[in-house]
Amino acid sequence: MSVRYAPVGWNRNKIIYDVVVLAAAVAYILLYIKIAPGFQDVTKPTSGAILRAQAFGTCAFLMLTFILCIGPLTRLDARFLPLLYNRRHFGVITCAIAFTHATHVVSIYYSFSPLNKYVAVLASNTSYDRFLGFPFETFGIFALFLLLVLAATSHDFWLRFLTPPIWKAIHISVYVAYAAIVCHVALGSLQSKQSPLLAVIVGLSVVMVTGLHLVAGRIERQKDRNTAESAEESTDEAPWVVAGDVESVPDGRGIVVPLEDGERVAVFRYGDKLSALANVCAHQNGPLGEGRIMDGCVTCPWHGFHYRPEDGCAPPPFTEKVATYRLKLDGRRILLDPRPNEPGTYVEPVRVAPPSVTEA
Amino acid sequence: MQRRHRTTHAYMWKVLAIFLPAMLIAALAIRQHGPTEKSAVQIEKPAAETEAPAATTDE
Repeated sequence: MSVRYAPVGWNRNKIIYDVVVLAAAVAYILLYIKIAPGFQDVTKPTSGAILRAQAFGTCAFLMLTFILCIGPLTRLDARFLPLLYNRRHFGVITCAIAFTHATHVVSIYYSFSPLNKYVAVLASNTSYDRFLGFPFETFGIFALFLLLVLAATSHDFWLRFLTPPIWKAIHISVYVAYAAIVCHVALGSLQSKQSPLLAVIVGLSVVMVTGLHLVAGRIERQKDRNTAESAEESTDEAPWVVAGDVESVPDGRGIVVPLEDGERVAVFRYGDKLSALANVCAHQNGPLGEGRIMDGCVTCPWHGFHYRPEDGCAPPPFTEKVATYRLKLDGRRILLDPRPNEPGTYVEPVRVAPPSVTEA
Repeated sequence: MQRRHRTTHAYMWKVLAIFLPAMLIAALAIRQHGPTEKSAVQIEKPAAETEAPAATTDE
């Protein structure tokens, strides 16, 4: 028996997610093309091709805004987690729409150039020494290039091939792409349009995206400050730290324990057992401690990757592993050895006695 | 690893939180309104223009 390779592991949730995103994008584009002519200056009607280019461009911008809000929203409220599940497909669809916008614009404005139309995009305006009149197309091309790289490397193959740290470092450039798009719009459409609506939309997008990221970052910093205290009485050489009380860990769930070195450990309770794993999922660094125990495994809240709590190994046929940590009990206090074991190292779970037995 | 990623994240957004609004405000504040952006306004025909063709026809 072997595991069949599937380029995309489709499931019901992914299909629903993609259908909703695609339907919303198509509805927006059709509505824009239908409604926008009603708001335009009747003395200077916009052609259908330009309307389509505007519809695709604004759609891609709004989609990117939404994508960038998903991350901080999930940090603020776990109810937004379903949006994160298939965010990569969302990004790929956004890239396709941005690419369609670019091809429309090139066809409309550069088809009659004596130069090759793709050369003309870069050669028609070379005023790089100005602020107003700066060739805003350059920002758009740069952003599209980044989005294409991100879409091309979004598959799990690249995640494994590049390793999560490098993959994450590359994909953080989506923020640079967003900044480039804001510059593209500010120095492009906002310079030639009298309608304040686009300016308001871009302004709101910037306020929302930056605001949410700053708030989420602040909350994460506060969490990092509440590091686990050292246990007063160490009976062996391990530098035990207090992870919390047994009662603070809900059954089937975990708590996140920040350590002094900035790493975080997830302590899980399942029935009468306690185990500790690194808080970082081996897939995309998702916060394991915010997941729950399902079918006897810790489940990452981002994409549902499973790990056995005792050894941090994904169940076969999967091969992902995370580091494990030693735990022990001091009465009802959970003590944690902050030194990580090699990923996949078995650690005997700590048995929790019912409160009445301990008290007796 | 986790901390480094969070720190990079936080640093990037601090920079962007200053740069993006500043960029947007500057671009909007100093944008120029060209004459072509104004709506066309219908002007009245000069009085002399209405009389002149009639005279031409008579001749």
